[in-house]
Formats: sequence, C-alpha cells, structure tokens
Amino acid sequence: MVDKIIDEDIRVLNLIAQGSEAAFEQLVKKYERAVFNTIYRFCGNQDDVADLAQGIFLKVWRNAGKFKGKSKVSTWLYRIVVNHCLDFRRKNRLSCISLDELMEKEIVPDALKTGDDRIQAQNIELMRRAIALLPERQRIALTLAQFEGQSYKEIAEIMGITVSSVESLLFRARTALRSALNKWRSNAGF
Amino acid sequence: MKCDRIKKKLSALLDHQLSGREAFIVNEHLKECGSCRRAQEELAELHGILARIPDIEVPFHFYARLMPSLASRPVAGLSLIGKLRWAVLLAATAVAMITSLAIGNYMGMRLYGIIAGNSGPGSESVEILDFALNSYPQGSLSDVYQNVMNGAENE
Repeated sequence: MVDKIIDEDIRVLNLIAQGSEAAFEQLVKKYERAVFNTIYRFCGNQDDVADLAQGIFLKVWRNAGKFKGKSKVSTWLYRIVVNHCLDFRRKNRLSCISLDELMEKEIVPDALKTGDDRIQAQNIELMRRAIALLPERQRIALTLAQFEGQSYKEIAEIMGITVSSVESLLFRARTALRSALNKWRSNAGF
Repeated sequence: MKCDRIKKKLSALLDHQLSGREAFIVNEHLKECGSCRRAQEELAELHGILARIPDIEVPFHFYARLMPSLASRPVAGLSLIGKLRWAVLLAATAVAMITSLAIGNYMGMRLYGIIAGNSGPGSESVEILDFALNSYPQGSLSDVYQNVMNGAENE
C-alpha cells in the first residue's frame, strides 16, 4: 500500500516535469496542508506562510525534472521546505528573544489561573511560540517528528545528518521545552 | 543502561523509533527507576501539549493564486540536446538581429551619400529626403528610395 502511494507520487512528479498542470494541482492539493503547517511551526507566525508556500511549490514546478528518485517524493519536498524556510529566516533575521526571555516576559493573567482548560490553552500557545525560538536544527527535527510524523531515518535524509544526530536533536529540543515550561510555571506560581 | 543514556532514549521511545530490543531495555529500566519514570511522564505531558497545538488552514484560493506564476515554464526539464537546441536558436536570433542592423545602417549611409552627391549642398539633400518621406509615409523603404532617386534625377 505504502509502495503504491510512493509510486503514485513519482508518477505525478514525472507528469509535472513534462508540464502537466493537472498533475501539479494534484500534488499541491495533497501536500499543501503539510507544507503550510511545517512553515507555520518553523517560522512561528502566520503572516508569511502563504508567500513561502507559494515559493516552495514554484520550486517544485520548476525542479520536478531534477528529481532523481533516490528518496521518497515527500522527503524531497520536505527538503525544499526546510531549505526555503532557512533561507527566509536568514534573510529576515528572525528570532530576536531567547526561550528564557519568553518565559520570563509571559505573564499569566489571574483569570487564567482559575480554570484547567484556560491553563492548558495558555500552555499550548506558549509552547507554540517557544518552538519558534529553539535553535534551527532542533526546531526542524521537532517539527518533522512531532507534527509531520516523519521517521528519524527520513528526518536524517531531509537534514543530511545521521539518525543518532536526529535522536540527539530531539532530546535536546524536548528537554529545552520542558525546562522552559517548568520555569514559566514556577514564575507564574503554579 | 545508565540513567543518562535511558533519558536520551525517552524521546525516541515516545516517537516509536526504538528497535524492539532497545524499547524492551528502556521499558524494563523504567519499571525500576523512579527518576527516569518521572522524566518520561514529564516528556509525555509535553508531548500531549505539543499534540494539541492546532493546525492552520490553507486559504481557499491558494491554488488559484499560485496558477499565474506557472506561466514561466523553465527549461530545467529539458535534456542536454534540448538545451543545446535552445542555445543554438538564441544565438542564431542574435546574429540575425545584428546583421539586420548592420545592413540597415549601411543602406542608410549609401542613400544619404547618393542624395548628397547628386544634389549639391547638404541642406538641399535633406529637403529632398524630407519631401520623399513626407510624400510616401506609408511606403516601403524601396518606395522611398525610388522616389528620392526620381527627385534627384528631375533636379
């Protein structure tokens, strides 16, 4: 079943390489949600997501003929997404404050301390913002593993590193987020 | 395995990325070690919070916005022979344009020389040329040339 999906992706990409707009639309519809959310989690805000996604899919359109078939199409696509987002962040010099600063600045209104659901909502928003402040490689690995369900082997291929490096990046990312959350709770008096 | 190594494996255990043997060793350790178990519970709580971060929706008109940008289909997908054909075609076009300009320039200079040579002072020649151009604004270059020659002969 999985092999059939992979074969179908390669067939669609070959058609795109020959100029088929219908095949391109099929690929966009299949992956647009994953691309949008990977960009969103990687960059931390919604403002630039659509423009970045457009740039990424145009790269797919232009470079479909260069796909060698050595990896899955999804791995190739995620590599384009990661490189595009890295370029964007470097050009725009995003990420101005550290995780520690975010946790110190984030004040919990008293109203939020009264209900478990509200605390949970605050936790979720805080972690969403905290992910965007992780070091670049940790953020990429976490986004792909946690939200896109990619295996460590696929993440290693996308990032051009070893599987044990992926394991190490994820361990450090989650430890940092865990510490930040504990610090914020301690500051907030939970 | 020591606790430090077990704790580094907890993330992979959570992502179901450990081999059967590794997962067995880590799980056995967790049964006996309170410190590692607490670390695993904290990690599981974090995992739960991260899993609840909502997705964003793709704008309805995203693909429609993308379509106009596809007009510039690249040459990237062409074979080497295809790329060579494009290169030869571009070079031939450039040579043809340069040659046309050179011929046009040469003919213009010859025409001006004939007029100037047959009709004396330069100002008169220019008047004749103006007359010819104004009389046959819609004509081809040959018509204008013929007219100038006729005008020069009549004088």
